[in-house]
Amino acid sequence: MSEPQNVEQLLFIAFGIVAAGGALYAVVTRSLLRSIIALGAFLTAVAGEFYLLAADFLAVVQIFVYVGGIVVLMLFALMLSASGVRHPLAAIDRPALGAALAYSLGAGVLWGSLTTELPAVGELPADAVDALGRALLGSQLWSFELIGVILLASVITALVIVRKERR
Amino acid sequence: MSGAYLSDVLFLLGFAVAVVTIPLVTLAAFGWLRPHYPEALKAEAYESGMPQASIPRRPFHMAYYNFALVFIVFEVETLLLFAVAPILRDAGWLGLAEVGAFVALVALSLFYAWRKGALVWR
Amino acid sequence: MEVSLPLTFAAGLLWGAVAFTIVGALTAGLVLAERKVSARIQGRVGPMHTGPHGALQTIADMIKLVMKEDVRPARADATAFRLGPLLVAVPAVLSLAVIPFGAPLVMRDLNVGVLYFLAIPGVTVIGLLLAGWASYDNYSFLGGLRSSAQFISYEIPRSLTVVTVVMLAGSLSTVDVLEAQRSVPYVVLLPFSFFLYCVTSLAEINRLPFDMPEAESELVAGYHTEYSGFRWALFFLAEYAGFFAAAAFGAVLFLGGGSGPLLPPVVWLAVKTAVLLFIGMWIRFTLPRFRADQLMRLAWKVFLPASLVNLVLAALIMRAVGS
Repeated sequence: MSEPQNVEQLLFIAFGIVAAGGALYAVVTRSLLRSIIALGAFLTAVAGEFYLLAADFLAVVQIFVYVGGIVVLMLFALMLSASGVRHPLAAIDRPALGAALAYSLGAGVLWGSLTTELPAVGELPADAVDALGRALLGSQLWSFELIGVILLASVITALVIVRKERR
Repeated sequence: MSGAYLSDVLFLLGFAVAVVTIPLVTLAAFGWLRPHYPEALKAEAYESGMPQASIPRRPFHMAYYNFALVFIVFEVETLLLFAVAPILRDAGWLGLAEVGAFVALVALSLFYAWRKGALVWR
Repeated sequence: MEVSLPLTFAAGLLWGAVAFTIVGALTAGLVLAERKVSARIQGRVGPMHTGPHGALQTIADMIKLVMKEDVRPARADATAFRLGPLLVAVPAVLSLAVIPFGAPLVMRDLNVGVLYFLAIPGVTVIGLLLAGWASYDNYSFLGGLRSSAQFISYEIPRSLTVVTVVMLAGSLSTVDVLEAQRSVPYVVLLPFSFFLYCVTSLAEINRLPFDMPEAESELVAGYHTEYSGFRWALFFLAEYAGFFAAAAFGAVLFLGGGSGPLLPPVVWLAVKTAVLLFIGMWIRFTLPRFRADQLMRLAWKVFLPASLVNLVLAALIMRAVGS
């Protein structure tokens, strides 16, 4: 039982259960606040999965941006709008259409992930963070700079939308 | 192969379990020592000695949201800088120029938000 | 791996318990120290009655706190009200896991330790917002919003400042950062980074002159207005854990951590941390408080541009030192 592979698999499954449970609760609960908290739990469990898969940088980024950023943004939205505690899914105009869309999208993703031939796990780099940095400045340089441009664009877009709302 | 990552996770999990359990146990353990005299007035929200004048569930200051929005963008940019920072020492002037271009884009976003008055608190 | 896996988990449990105990003891010590320091600065004597020169005052306070009634406002959201203080206190202690306290006390050397230290306290913001919202109290609500807005605003210049250290050290591991300072501590090479780190840290842990969120003259006690007894103590614990962690991390990043002649590393780190803590207290009782809008302006229009300039400066310093 104490074999590393077994422990790793067990942990991976445990994190997976927490993630799935959190995600499920997030959509099932009628309280928006609880939904956001469950989303936070889901994101944290996924960070655990990342770490187990040797993506430690990504795991910390997940906590940094998603738990400490996106979840906080959602909480701000909930608290500032005082939209009460009703879940937005409960206030949707045409629930049947929404459900059909969501289920077909989910089924598509599931089907795609089950049928796609995944690439074999290669040799892990000795220092994953180092490899990531080198890739960003080497083969992925354009992606790196492009992200900067996209983020600039997102600041502009966000501010334009916010200004429109204010008027 | 991934032994180090696995033991990191196990260690942090143990650490977290301890840190979560201790306050919960303390809270429960002293439960029987604590007085418990519920009273309607005690359970009122504090408002300088008068009944609550307005409920804290009302639309409020959007500025908080705007700052949170801009925050996420800058946070992602900071994290990308963290990804390249460790190798900059031996990346030469070319590497510095590449990261410099990225930092210039960050500065440009800041400048734009500044000019548009998004950083004004109101 | 030489160490067996169950043992690693047990080590985590043990260190978690140790970290929590240390934080508890430190909070007691720091509260007393702070009251004495503030008394000295303001020409008072501070607590005197419990124990010699009031030395047992915080012990008495702690006993009082665990014995106090646990009051919850009638209209509060019970679950969120309970979750809030935990989500504030737990990350504050968790972040200590990567601080290299010296030979026997290195808890965990993560590959991404520096980033871990910056990321984990971010979860605190969720706790602050929950506590303020769940209390169903206007002061708590406003306090929670202000604290979290301030936290996220100062997180960016603070992180950007830490990037300069990572750049020079060439690693995200806290142990490597220490190792890289063998010959020269980074406070010498990056004095401006050190200054920015200290100021933004003070702001991020909500201490004066940046403690607007809890300004007692206008917000009563901010997000923890409605809390009492042990739940309130958790907020207090988190505040001092954050204060201590920021000082210890500063000592590791800029002052060479546990390196020093004669004395063992743990002692050196403790001394350096204590100096930073003292400066923090000194500032608290010397400077007046900023206004909420001034605080946000400072974060975005002074510290963020300054940290970007500092980044370029550090890159030039790195080239100069490297060649």
